[in-house]
Amino acid sequence: MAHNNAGAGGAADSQAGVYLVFGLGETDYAVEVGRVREIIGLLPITRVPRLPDSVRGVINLRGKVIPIVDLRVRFGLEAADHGQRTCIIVLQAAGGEFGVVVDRVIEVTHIATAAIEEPPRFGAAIDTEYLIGVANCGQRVRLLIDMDLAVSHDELAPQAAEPDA
Amino acid sequence: MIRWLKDLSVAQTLLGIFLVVGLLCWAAGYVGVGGMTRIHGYAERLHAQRLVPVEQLSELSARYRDGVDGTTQRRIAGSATASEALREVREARLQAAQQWATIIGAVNGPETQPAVREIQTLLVETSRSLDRLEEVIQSGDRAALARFHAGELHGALEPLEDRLASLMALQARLAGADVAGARQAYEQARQVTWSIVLLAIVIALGLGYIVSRAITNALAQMRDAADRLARGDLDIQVTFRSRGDVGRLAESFRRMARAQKEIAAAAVEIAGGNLSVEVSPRSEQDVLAQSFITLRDAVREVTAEARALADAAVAGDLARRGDVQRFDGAYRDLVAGINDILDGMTAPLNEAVVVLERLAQKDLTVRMSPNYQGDHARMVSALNTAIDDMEEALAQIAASADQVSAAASQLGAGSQTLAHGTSEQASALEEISASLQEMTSMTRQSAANAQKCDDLSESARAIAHEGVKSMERLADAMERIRASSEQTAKIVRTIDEIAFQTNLLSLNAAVEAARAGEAGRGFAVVAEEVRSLAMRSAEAARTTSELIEGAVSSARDGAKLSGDVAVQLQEIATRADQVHNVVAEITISAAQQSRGIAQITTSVEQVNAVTQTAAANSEESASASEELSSQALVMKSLVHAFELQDTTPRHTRMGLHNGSMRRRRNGHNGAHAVVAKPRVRSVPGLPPEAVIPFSDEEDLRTLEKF
Repeated sequence: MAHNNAGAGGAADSQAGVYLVFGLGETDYAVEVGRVREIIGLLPITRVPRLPDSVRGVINLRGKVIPIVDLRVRFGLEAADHGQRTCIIVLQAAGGEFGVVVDRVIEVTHIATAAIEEPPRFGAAIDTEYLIGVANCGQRVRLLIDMDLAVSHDELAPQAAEPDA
Repeated sequence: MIRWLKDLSVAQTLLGIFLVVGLLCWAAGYVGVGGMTRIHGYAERLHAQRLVPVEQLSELSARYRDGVDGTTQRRIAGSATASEALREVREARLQAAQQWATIIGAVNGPETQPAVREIQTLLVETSRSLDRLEEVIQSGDRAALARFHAGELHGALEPLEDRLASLMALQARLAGADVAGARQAYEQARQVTWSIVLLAIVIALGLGYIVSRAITNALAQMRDAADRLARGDLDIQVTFRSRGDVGRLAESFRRMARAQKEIAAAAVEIAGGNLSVEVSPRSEQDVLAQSFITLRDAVREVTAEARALADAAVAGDLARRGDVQRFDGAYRDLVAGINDILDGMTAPLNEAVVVLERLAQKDLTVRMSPNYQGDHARMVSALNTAIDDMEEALAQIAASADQVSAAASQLGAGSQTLAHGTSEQASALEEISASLQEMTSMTRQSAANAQKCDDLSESARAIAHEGVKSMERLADAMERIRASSEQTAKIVRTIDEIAFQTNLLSLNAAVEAARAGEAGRGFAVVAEEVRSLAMRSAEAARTTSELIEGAVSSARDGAKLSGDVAVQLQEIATRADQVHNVVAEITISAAQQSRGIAQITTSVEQVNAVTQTAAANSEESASASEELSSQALVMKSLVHAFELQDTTPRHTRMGLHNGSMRRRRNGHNGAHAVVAKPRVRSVPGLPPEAVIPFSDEEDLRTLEKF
């Protein structure tokens, strides 16, 4: 995990500390900007049979078929309808492109390394492994997400790994 | 016709009748002779044209049959020589030619013409055959003669004899027709002659009857009239009138009766007293009229004398007497009787003259002496009674003058009171009149106010209507605002969408800039700026959207409010209409009130006029009572100028009469009260306006009684 992270960080060193911040429910999340390919508005999502609940379906982005992961299901949050600000963030993670549906995109910002703390450890039972850290930005807290882990939790990972391999 | 006959004299009538009958006889003879002449013509023609030719035709036929045919047969038989036969044949031909000429001369009618011409043709042919017969006879050949006889001669003679026989038959028919014509002429002549004869008999009988009837009727009337005149009955009726002899006789009868009637009527007039009747003698010898004039003159003279005496007596000349010497017999007795009557009448009249002269000197003590009988005694007693009554009447007049004087003073006082009352009434009426005028002006003012109120309500109604319309326009405007706000909201949503897309673009740009690292730093700044602009425009769009939502809801509220206001304005308009109706009723009521007040004013004016009249009348009656009082004084002094016979019985009589007078006056007063009471009672019972305008005449009459 660390070398993955380090590999990515090494590839884009200049991008270190720059994050794309987005909101899901009441919580703000941040993801490394190097992972982000594109931010698009909500497109019609085609449901695909026999997929897990965390995968909403696929979209067609300029001829490319991209699976869409529902982070709410992934993170165990309650389901919510799409709003006006709902967007799809297309990411490069786990060896493929994924799209995640977020409630809003907030900003692209620089987070100093000093402001990043280790994620809290609540216990073995609680799965917090996709959290990289917690950024303290003023009064608000932003959760730094490891997108590789977030999107490749289950069967997606080997499938996603195949084209890469 | 009858009338014209009546005007002829008897001789003319008889002559005329004989003339008419003679003319008819002449006509009958003329017609008879004409008929006989025509019958004679028929007979002549029958003989000359029909019978003689028939005989000659028969002879002609015998000539040919015996003279020609017989001779030829004898020659054939040999009983005659050729020369004999030739001679006989020639003789027969000659005779036949002569007879034919005679027949043609007689038979020339149009009916026989064709037959005659045919026979003429046959004769010519026969003549040629006979020429050949003579040649054959001369030749002496009897066999040839026999052939000729059986052939040509027979063929020539037979048709000739046939034609002659048919001509004879025709003549016989014509003769029969002539006989029929003669019979018809005879019948005609006989009928016409008999008709004329019968007509003559009828006319003669008719005229004789009419004439004899006219004459005998007139004569019967005149015989009756003569009988009645002989019996002295002048009322005769002779109605027959004509210019003939009998008519003149009837006229003489009528004149005679008329003259006698005139004398009789004049006698009746004199008997009835009309002496101016005039009778004119019809001739010098009219003894009856002369005697009648003498009688009338005598009666005239006597009546003229009596009239002159009566005129003198009427003119007061009682000394004149009639001239007895001028009359004889019964007329003298009549004039003398009149003179005696005058003598008997003058004596009491003279005494009466003396008594009346004393009376003229106001001496009522004188009386006539009672020494007369009959009508004169009645006259004396009447005169004395008259003087007694006059004396008594004067005493009563003196008493009455006192009473009149007292009554006149009472009347004066009553009139003064009445005048005072009427003046008070007049002033009260003035006040009523002023109040009424004030009321009239108030009514007029209230009518004007009502009109003004009506105008105001009308304008309020109009304004309310205008407001309703404005509210409708306002609602429209609100609706438009709402529509445009929605449009604006859509635009704002679009802007918001654009801002969102822009934000996404800026974020993408920021991502790209971050990826670019140090090279993308400037670009990141730009992206940040773009993003902040997008955020701001999104914020502005949200704010605008909220504002527009507020505006839309405000517009909705405004529309609802304007609808409410329109309803209220409509209510205001309805109320204004109601106000208008109420004001119209008020106006009508004011007009009615005004009319009522005008009627009251008229009535009050009438009452005022009546009151004025009453005031004038009361003043007049006051002055009249004063006049009456002074007249009573004058009457008293006049009565005292008379010298009366004695005083004692006068007082008792006066007392009696005073009592009766008082009773009568009381009765009179009672009657007056009875007359006056209903009027006094009726006035409070009715409203004053019902009594005052309509009882003008009655009031005036009652006022005049004062």
